[in-house]
Amino acid sequence: MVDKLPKIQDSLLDLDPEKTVENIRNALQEDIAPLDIVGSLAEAMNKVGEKYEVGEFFLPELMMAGEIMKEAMSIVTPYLKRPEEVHQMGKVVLGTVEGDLHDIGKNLVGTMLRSSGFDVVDLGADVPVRRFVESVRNEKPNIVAISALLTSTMDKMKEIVDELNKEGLRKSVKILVGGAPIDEEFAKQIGADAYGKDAVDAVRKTKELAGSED
Amino acid sequence: MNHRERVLAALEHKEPDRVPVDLGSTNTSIHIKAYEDLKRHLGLKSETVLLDMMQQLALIDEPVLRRFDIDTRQIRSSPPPARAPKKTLPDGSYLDSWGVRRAKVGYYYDMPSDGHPLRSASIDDLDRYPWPDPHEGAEKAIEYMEKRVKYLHEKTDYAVVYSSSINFFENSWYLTGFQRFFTDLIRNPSFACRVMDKVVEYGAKFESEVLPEIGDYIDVVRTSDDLATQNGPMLSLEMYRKYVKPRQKKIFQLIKSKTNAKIYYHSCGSVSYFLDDLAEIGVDVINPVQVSAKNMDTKMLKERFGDKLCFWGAIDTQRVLPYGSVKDVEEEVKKRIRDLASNGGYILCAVHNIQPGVPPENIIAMHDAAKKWGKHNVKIQ
Repeated sequence: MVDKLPKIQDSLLDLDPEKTVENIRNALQEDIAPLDIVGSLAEAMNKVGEKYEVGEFFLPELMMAGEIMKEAMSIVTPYLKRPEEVHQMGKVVLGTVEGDLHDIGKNLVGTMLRSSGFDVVDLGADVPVRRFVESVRNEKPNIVAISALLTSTMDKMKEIVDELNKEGLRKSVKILVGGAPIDEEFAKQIGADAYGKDAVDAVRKTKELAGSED
Repeated sequence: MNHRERVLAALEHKEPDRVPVDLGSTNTSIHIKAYEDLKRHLGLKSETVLLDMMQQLALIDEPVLRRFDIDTRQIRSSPPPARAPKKTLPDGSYLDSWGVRRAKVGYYYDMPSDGHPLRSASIDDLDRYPWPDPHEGAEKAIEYMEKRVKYLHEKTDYAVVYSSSINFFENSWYLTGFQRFFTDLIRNPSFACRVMDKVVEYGAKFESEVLPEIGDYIDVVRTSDDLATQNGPMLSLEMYRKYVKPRQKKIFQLIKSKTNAKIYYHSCGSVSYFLDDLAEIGVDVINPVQVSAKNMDTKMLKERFGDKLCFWGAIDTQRVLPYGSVKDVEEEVKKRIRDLASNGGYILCAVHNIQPGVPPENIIAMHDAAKKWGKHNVKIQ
């Protein structure tokens, strides 16, 4: 019975959706706690992230693992007594700034964050400053994660930080920024809390930010 | 040396009298907004003509090209002004020649998430899809280009850069959406390959008709397909070699069989990982040399690949051009010339198109510095 969990991990790391689903169904049938399955999947996704960082996995593998994770979660979630338990890591509002339709990186960050147990509110792409601010007010996330691909749109990130300050919401939320032209220095300059250089790094930084909360 | 001789010498890895400079082609132009700022600064009053719809690029006017003593002239398969190729929709978005929808958001036309017409297609749907007709496209292209390339070749001394239709990897995922295409490379490779084959087939037929007509009058054929991001390759070398490289090889062989022009390949990002393979299958020139991406140090690139590849671009557009001072721009130009220009093999221009917000002073500083520091007898400390 105990060998079911490593099997789930292996099939996810082999990027085999059918096998992963089959292994999860078997585990559920054998009364393995659904929350343990979720934990095991999250651990496998961590390993996927590690493989990406050492250059063993690339975007196709990262995205495929994300899709398998999504399918896996849709099977396990109905078995959870309290589905919100999988969102124990915190809540993230995520979006690409106004004037920028680029969402490949942003979507990948969303998938990876969900896989790691965050509740993600994805505002999409071309999101006005106002909407970020309203979502922070209404959704009360722990973290707001902002993406931009263009040098001509990255300044919108500063506007979002400034608006959150103005509205007295800045202290209620941590800010993570990312996207091709962004770097650590820029993040600091505009008053963000952290910079994620890619989807895997963004998850790591989000976890750190979530952990550093008062 | 005249302009063309200068470019050709550099492309043959011989040191020209000065580093050649390019401006005005499909990925080496200026966004209309930055271009209008530049013209105002230079006191030029001409109306701006659109060269590229999607990227909202300006057709660079002759007075500007001459002001900067640009060594190249570009030709694309359809005459400016650029317009929505297939159909404009009531909301202002348009369908490109593949049927991909592009909507204007901010400064450019980009693909909304529902803009990919094959996002939920089956493999059988691919045979029913209204693919563009390469013959029809080629006929129109030849009609326009023949006269212009002959003129450029015979009546001017500029090197002629032809922007070809070869862009199959990107066009494939434009059609299906990035997520679907990249996961299909694992989950459903036969579908991904079939899409690529359809797109390659178009390009091969189009160029087989066009290149015999213009091949003797052009010096460079521009091809393009992004393989990398800011931080690394999009896909593994193994997957690239299995799915992308064989198709590229076929296309490059076809181009080489129709013209002596050099093959210029554009891929943004951290592309150094693929350069040995690209050189092996016939790429002569790599553009845009995105120096701000990972593993794209120009000194390293020249050392490792300089004997088999020319570098076209390399003046940083992410930091230096938009945010640097005139002095920073000059230092950037000096660095890239020092790193890349020995024994030829370097054509100088910005990494990709010059973006909105780039100060005209910096555009001018880049070109002035290229002239000052690009002369072969000038020693850069």
